[in-house]
Amino acid sequence: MRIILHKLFGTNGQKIVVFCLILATALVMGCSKEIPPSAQAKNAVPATVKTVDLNSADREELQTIPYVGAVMADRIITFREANGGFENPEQLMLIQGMSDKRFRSIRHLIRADISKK
Amino acid sequence: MSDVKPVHRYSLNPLFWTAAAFAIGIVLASYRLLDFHIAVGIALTSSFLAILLSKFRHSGLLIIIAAVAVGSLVFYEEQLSITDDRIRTIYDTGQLTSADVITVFGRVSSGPEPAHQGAVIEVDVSQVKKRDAEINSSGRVRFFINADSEDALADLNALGLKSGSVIKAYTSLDRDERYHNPGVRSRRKMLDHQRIDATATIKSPLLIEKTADGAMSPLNAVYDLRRDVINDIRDRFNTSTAGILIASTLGDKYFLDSRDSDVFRSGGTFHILVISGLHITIIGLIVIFIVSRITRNRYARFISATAILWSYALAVGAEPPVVRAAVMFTVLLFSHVIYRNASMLNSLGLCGLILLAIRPSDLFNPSFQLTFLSVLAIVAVAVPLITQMREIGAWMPKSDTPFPPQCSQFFRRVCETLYWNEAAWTIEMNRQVWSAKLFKSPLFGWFGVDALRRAVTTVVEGIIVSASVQLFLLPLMAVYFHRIPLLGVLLNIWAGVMLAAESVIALLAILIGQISDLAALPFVRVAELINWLLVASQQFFITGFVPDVRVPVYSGYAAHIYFVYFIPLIFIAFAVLNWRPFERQLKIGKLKIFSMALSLILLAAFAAVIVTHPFSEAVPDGRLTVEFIDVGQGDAAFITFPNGEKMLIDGGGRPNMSGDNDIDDLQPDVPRIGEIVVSEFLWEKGISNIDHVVGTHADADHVQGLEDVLQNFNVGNLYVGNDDKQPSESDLLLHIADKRNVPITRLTAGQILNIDGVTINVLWPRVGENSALSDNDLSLVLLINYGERTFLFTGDIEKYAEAELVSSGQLLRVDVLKVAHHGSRTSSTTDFISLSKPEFAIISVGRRSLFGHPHTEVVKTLTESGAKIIRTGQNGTITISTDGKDLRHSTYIPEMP
Repeated sequence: MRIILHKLFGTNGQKIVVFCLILATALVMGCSKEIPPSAQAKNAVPATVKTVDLNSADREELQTIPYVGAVMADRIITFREANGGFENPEQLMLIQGMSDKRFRSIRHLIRADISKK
Repeated sequence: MSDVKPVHRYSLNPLFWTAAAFAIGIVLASYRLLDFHIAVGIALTSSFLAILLSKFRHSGLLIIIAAVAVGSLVFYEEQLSITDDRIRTIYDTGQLTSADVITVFGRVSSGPEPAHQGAVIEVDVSQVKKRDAEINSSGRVRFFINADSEDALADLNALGLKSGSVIKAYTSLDRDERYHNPGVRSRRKMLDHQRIDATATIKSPLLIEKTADGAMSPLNAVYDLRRDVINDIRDRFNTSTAGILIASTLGDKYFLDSRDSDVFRSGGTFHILVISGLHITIIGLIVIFIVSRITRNRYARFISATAILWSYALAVGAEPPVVRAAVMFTVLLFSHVIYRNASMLNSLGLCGLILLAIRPSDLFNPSFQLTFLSVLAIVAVAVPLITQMREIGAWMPKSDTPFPPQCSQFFRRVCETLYWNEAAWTIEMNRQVWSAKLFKSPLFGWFGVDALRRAVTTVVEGIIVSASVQLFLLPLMAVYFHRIPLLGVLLNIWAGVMLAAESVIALLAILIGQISDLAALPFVRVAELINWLLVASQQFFITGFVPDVRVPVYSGYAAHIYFVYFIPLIFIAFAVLNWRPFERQLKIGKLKIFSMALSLILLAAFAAVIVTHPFSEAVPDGRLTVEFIDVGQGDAAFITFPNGEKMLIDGGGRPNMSGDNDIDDLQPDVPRIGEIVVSEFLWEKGISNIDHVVGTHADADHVQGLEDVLQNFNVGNLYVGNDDKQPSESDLLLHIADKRNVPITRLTAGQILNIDGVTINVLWPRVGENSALSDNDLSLVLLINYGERTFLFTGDIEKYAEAELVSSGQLLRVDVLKVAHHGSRTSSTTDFISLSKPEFAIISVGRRSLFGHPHTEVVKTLTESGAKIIRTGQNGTITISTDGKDLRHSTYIPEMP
């Protein structure tokens, strides 16, 4: 391979060709990284999904939320009574048992209607 | 010979004595021994008189008296600053509890500081909203913002929090004491020393709202740079190296791995992992060195060095110990600038005055005491001693030292070995018109290699410094850390040098890495290698030779030894400071030699007493005493037999929530229950050995604490159940027992232990019991009988085991029942309770259990059977004792009537 290159381009030319090849490879690899991953709106809520209102839902409806069982539903209701309701959905994390990770997976299913407080 | 009256010694270091008097004033005020108005009166009259009578020789005494009074006044003034709207007052008076969900409004004072799975910020709180009540407040709160996922971290960064940002956050504040046991360090006091009114966790960055940006501060650029460097280090180096580098050079200790930290603690070198006086001093010296090469102007040197040093101190978080060290360094530097022949002791006194005037309560802060005493040791003992040794060793006839030094022959020879440079003398002689023959007799030559002599001398000087510091810190190490690192003197030098090398190479790696990661790689690897060596070498010395010695403390009158220890030490320091071997004296006073010898002997004696702690345990009182220790969620019961033998049943521990961890994952340096609660409890009782330790079953909240207990104490016997599950949470415990040569006995139902008239019946589990049962159902159940009184320890047994015990007929009425499984509904069946019908039902559970323990059904069953329920989480340590007939009980926190 090198002999062919040497015969075709000479010593210096050989170096230039090799260099160009490396440059081209780098560029191709770099360019391929530039293609951005398709940005999907993870939290885009399809219009048809019904959200649960934390401030007015009853025990049964609350338990339709993933990670919310009977005990947590009771805690939510206790929180509502003690603090006059939820100001925003994020306050659900203040309930024992609702971590940041869990919340992020269910945030598209809940809302906090402050007019219902 | 001379007729000149010697100047009164205390006037050589007036500021030091003033500072000492100031400190005494603070102590008097804290014990309310000096009334406020009296102090005002004394301060005014003394100062007035001192000015009036300034010509008199002893007017200095009046200044001292005034200083005492002013010290008291400053202390009272600080107490007044704890206003009613401070968060700590609001909390302490019950207006706010840790169960209240509140909205906090405030301004970020420092942070965000990167931490493991989140970040830490400190906020000056201006208002707290509880339900609809708005409470105006002040004071600083430290928040941990939980961000354990990529999304959460992104949200946190998007918030763009900086020093000065105004925020609103939803959280609950915590200022509770965690473990209410006699002797356990008060969490509130620790927070107060750190100037923090409360701590809190914010469960997600989504619970924070930034309402305004703070004013632009040049410091923010520094903080951002620091954060970027921290992230760069975490990406570039392995977990252990990253943690150690980030802590020791950037002041962020949240990435230290607990295994590394333990090695450093055992070696007595932990302080080099956190930015402290040592770092500031070294960095300060480096900065001085660099600045000296640039300019000759003393003022320029002082200003530039101080500016750089303070920028560094602020950039790494301006924690109180760092600020203290920076103040000390600035004062010491300043005293050189104003051309005085700076007496270091005097400068130290000035530092003390400044620091205590700003924050008098720091006098009781262990961190302050450690820093101050270390510097005092260096300034009062190590440096004067080394200076004198140099002068003795390198003595040549000069105008101010015409005569050879007066000291013991051997000592002179040692100094000459270290400091005599024959070549330098030859050059000096060639310059003079006279010549002399000096009889120098070093112990050995250095093979003609002067560099070797200088190297060894540096090491020897290091040892002297390290040894002085250890001597001064001995009582504090015993009382605060219950640890005497025997190899501390050597390991400090070794570890310090290694860490310095590692830091330099890491710095190179980071700088080169900005251009090319590949080029930086060899530096990264070398740094990681040094890091491994740093940890492994200490580990080797500790396990191979003598490890650190864990010491219990005296209580009552005997505790005075920790203060009395300093009396001979101060005398020796005085002697060293005032030693003038070149001032010819015809006769060295016999009194001097005698008092010096006595001091040394006394010091050695006191040190030996502190380390070997004879008679530190209480005298046995002939009663069987059971103490249920408050370990939060978990069990730990300490039993003292009538003849003084001791038994510990379970040692608490934190349940491991995160499941199986990769060995390379960071194990955050979180204090362990076995160390800070159980071991602390035992050390405060003066105990250093335990005859019997029982691990009821393989659950972390029962046996994890025992791992520390086995390491820290001399254990006679370890008893465990006979479950052979693999892997088991008891594995590490058994491994430690093996390494410490503690005999392990497996107990099964039917076995009986007789200890000093007390019978211990093992009721459960039976031999060959179905090993498919849960760990809980295989817990050891012990029935302890003394005279007419019985105690039943049930571990975590559940319905099955309880039913079997009921039907076996072995279960009888007991006086004291340790309720199974922390009062969970899985246990305490009606049959079991009605058969055991205890007078006292002890539930070992945290103040707020994650699992909801104790469950209401269990409480109902127990109350209905007539038992008196006492919870460790509510009342702290529960003590029940008997002489075989009576039954006395008491709790650490008095029960509600």
